[in-house]
Amino acid sequence: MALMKKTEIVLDHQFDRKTCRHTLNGELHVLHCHHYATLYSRLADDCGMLDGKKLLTEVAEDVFFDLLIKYFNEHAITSLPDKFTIAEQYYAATGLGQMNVVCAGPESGEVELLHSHVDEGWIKKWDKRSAPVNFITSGYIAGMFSAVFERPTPFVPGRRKSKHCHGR
Amino acid sequence: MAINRKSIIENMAKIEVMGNDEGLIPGFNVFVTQLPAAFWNGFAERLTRLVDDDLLESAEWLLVNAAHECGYHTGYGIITSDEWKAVVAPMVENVPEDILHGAFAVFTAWGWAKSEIVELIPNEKMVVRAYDYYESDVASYGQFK
Repeated sequence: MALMKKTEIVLDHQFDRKTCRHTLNGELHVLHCHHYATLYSRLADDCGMLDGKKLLTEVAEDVFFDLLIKYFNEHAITSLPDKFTIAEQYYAATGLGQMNVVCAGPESGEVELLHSHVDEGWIKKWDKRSAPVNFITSGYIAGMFSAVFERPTPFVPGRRKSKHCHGR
Repeated sequence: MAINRKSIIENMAKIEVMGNDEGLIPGFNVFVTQLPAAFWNGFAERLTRLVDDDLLESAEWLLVNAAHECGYHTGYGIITSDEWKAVVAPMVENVPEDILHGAFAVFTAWGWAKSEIVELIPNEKMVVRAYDYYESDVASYGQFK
């Protein structure tokens, strides 16, 4: 019987005693809580002077695209299942939640969000809301799809029948 | 002062921060994330760079307000957490001075800023100095105004 080897993300966490900074796989990371993430999300939602929701989504997309591409290259991750597995595991390891990529192609896909730092943090802080609040994950998913399919053109996060995430 | 800042930073920085089976990090009475500093800096930087000059102050106020409210809730979460009770609480002799000194050691361990209280007169004055903080990383060359 053939044995399937499960891809596991490699995370190297270091704390520099001199600078008091944390790195994960050589990239500077910082601890924050759900109050900060949800307040950033609300700030983006309320920001009438700019399209704050788009801005927050784009920042997440850019940052996580770069991070995932770097990881795929450094660890020679080439297959689509392995790339999505690594992206799901990084999302979970950093505390953003639990996601499951149901299907994916170069033009579209679908992602289930089983647990979410932003959504659950929002509900804990302000209760439920019908409109989407998780712009960070929208950006993460867009960056993940662009990185997996190596497409420079940004994916557009949508709510249904597409890569999406929405408040529960 | 009974607070051993170095020991607090050492111990708090050792706490493993990784998502559980649900991809969440419950700790310090809050849900925690460990995200790239580039993400937090990126939004603040783009927001403040894109707004018109006459709205810059408002944009900055929104960011400060987010940190302010977060500091209130997370700060309370930290000083009432099991992690605090285990590491910092045994060192606390004078209240509120030791709690404040201990809190800034924890903030330092979280990677926000290498920061400490340099002057404290309870109910009157507190001077905090941040020697190095991740938000200063937006400039890779030169110094931003």
